[in-house]
Amino acid sequence: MNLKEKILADPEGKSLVNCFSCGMCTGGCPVARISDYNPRRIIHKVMLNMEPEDIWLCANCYTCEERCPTKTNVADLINLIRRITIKKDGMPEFIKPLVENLKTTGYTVQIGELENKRRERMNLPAVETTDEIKKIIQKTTLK
Amino acid sequence: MKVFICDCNGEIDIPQNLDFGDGVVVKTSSKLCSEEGKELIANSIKKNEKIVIAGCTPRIAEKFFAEFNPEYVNIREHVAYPGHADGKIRDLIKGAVEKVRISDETSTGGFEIKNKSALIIGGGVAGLETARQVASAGFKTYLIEKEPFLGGTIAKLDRLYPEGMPNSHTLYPLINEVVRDKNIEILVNSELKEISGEIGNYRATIRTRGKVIEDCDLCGKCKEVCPVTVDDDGIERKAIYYRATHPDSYGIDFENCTGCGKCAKVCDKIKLDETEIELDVGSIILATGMKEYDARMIKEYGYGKYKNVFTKLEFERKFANRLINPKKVVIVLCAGSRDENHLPYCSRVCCLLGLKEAKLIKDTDPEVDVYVTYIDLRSYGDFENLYTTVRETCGVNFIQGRPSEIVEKGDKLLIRTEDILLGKTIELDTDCVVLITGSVPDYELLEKLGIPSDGEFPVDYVNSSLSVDSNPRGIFVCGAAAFPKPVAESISEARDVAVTVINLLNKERVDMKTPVADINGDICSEVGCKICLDICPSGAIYSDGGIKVDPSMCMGCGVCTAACASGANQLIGYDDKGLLAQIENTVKEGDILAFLCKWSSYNAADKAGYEKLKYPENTKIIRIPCTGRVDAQIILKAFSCGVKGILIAGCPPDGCHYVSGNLRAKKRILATKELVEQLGIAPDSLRIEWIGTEESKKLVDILNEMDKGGNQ
Repeated sequence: MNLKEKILADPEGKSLVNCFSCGMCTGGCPVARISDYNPRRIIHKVMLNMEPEDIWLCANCYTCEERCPTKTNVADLINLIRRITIKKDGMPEFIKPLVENLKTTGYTVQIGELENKRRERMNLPAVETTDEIKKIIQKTTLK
Repeated sequence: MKVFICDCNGEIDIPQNLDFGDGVVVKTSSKLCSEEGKELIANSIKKNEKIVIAGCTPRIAEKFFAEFNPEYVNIREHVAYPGHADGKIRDLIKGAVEKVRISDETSTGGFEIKNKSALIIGGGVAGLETARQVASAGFKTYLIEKEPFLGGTIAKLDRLYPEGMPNSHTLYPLINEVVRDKNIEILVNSELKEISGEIGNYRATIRTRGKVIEDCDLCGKCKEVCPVTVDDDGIERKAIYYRATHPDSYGIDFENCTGCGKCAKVCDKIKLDETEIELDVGSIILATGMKEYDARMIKEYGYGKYKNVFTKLEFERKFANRLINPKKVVIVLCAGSRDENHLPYCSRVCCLLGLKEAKLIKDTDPEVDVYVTYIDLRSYGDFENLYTTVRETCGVNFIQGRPSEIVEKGDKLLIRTEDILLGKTIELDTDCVVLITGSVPDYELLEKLGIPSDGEFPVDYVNSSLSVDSNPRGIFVCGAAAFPKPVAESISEARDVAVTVINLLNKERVDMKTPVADINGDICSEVGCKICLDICPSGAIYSDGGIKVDPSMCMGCGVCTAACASGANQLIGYDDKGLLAQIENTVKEGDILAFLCKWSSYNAADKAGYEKLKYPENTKIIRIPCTGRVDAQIILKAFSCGVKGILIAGCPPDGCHYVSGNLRAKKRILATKELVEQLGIAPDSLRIEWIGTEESKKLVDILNEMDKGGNQ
């Protein structure tokens, strides 16, 4: 199966065919505003059996999905493309440190002292690290 | 009962010594469709006697014998042409005879057209034109308008597309003719409260607020004292105001009037009281026009939050009145349209309205920078010229892409969108944004008139209410109330409806076109399952204490009869006992029984006859209105009579004459397959297929396959 077939076979991938390429996802995408990233083009390329680019740039803010007029689950589809890509080619090198962070702290992004100081100023509780994720990872087959 | 058999000029070999039991007289003819043949029928039957006509296909026979309301047997296309032996003729006629013998009365009812008058709801172009046409044919016409003035949406516009003609060109002559016609009674500030009755004899209760001010000299004192200021699609006015259409007096906007009475104190001609009148009419026409989708619902575009985001009507009125002078304008097409979160459909005219606004701006001030954002630009037909003009002559910029959000930045607005052709996100700053929103149906009135809409425009109803095979109802929808459309199309649709109304009012009586379902209230109330209520594709079944069928809405598909849990619901002409008797007397051990939809697959079988295609002689075909009529009881009966295969065939998935009867049939047959399997019958011997009128080869292939396949 190629990428498109794998997506359509997945329960989360059914909405791929909804897209009519209106660009509302890309127009509101915060990553697209500062880079050449283009979620509409990812969906469109998959539809045409072409290799999508920049799939790792999505910040998972879900604005695209919220606004999509055809109820295409853009962000979910991009996550699905990532999962399929990892299954096929393994994890890209630059993702590995993020996974390591997740294991040790419970967050992909390291939260430093600076961040917590700022939160204190805003009367927000400090973010504490957790080893819950580590436990989950150890109990599942993921290593 | 009499059976008339026609050998179609000797084309059919009719078996000798046909005997169909007690009280059945058989008469033969060589050309039953001739005048002599019809005389033979007319002279030999008693009043209301049931008859069977065997000969050519009912597609042809219905042209000649509809007045006798017979049961048709097709012995030409389904027996003689495919070269089947004449014993099949005997079986087919026998089945029809026994069906007719046991069935209830099949004659269809009718309605008297008592009131030679029409009620038209809505005083816009569609309503005005319908009124003009119906009244000019000599019928009393009542035209009611919710607002204080005639003219509808276009009275508020600066110009009409495609040429940009002022609205007065269309509206003023139309209003003049309507006002002059003595057959037309105009009631402004009036709404339909309720209706009762049936076609030809409706009673409408109309609520009228206030009274048209007589001999108003437009002095405007009333306006000065009125404390209520209203934003009328971009223009500020008082709750009492004047619009240059009709009537030629100040009028009160009762939607916003607080009833303080200050105007009545300065002018004793002003009346605020409410009156109710009852009108007896033969027909009702809904022409309530355009209703704009509420742009506030599209949160990311900030309408209602940012003062320079306008709807199309507001912008046009403000711009034409020089209330705004933007240097740069972005026109957003498809605002909330083709959107599952808002309006899933395309309102068809919005692209053109957007182009019109662009041209309006450029015509007024060519220096203004105009951008149009679009998903697909649908300038259908001749409107491509408008698109070309706006692009080439006016120099408007087009950006393909649906804006994702609009934010305020200083005194400017910032639009974030992808330019799909560049494949990049862009930000446009602008002085103002025009949202070209779509239209929504008038749910409330549709419901009052018993027109099913399911939250969308009543497209199915509009198509069927003008079609030749639906039962007469006398309630029509035209203009933008039926579906958003341009002014010219609204006017021509108004004429279509007017012709139908005039034809109707010219008659003393109209007959039902198709037999309808009938519910036995005693049996139904014992079970009260209400399954039929939800599945009727025409919205003809309603609950009124008991469950009832509105015969004027019923299209006669039989989906409800098949679904009825108690046998209380019976489609006249295709009732359970009739069909069961027909099956029992038609089929023999080892036959294949085919239930073919009269709109598609039955015609495919006729075509197989014309093409002399070979298919098994033991195929017996029963004509049904829709595959949705077939239920488990009928299938089990056929199997118990020893058939080796059952084919149910009808129109392609989205092409059902009754919207969804075929899809219901598919579900039902798949469930019945499981049932027959439990009874030890091979599920493959029960098949449901889509076979269109042209697909005779597909039909024949399936029948041949079934004949070879099943033998249990």
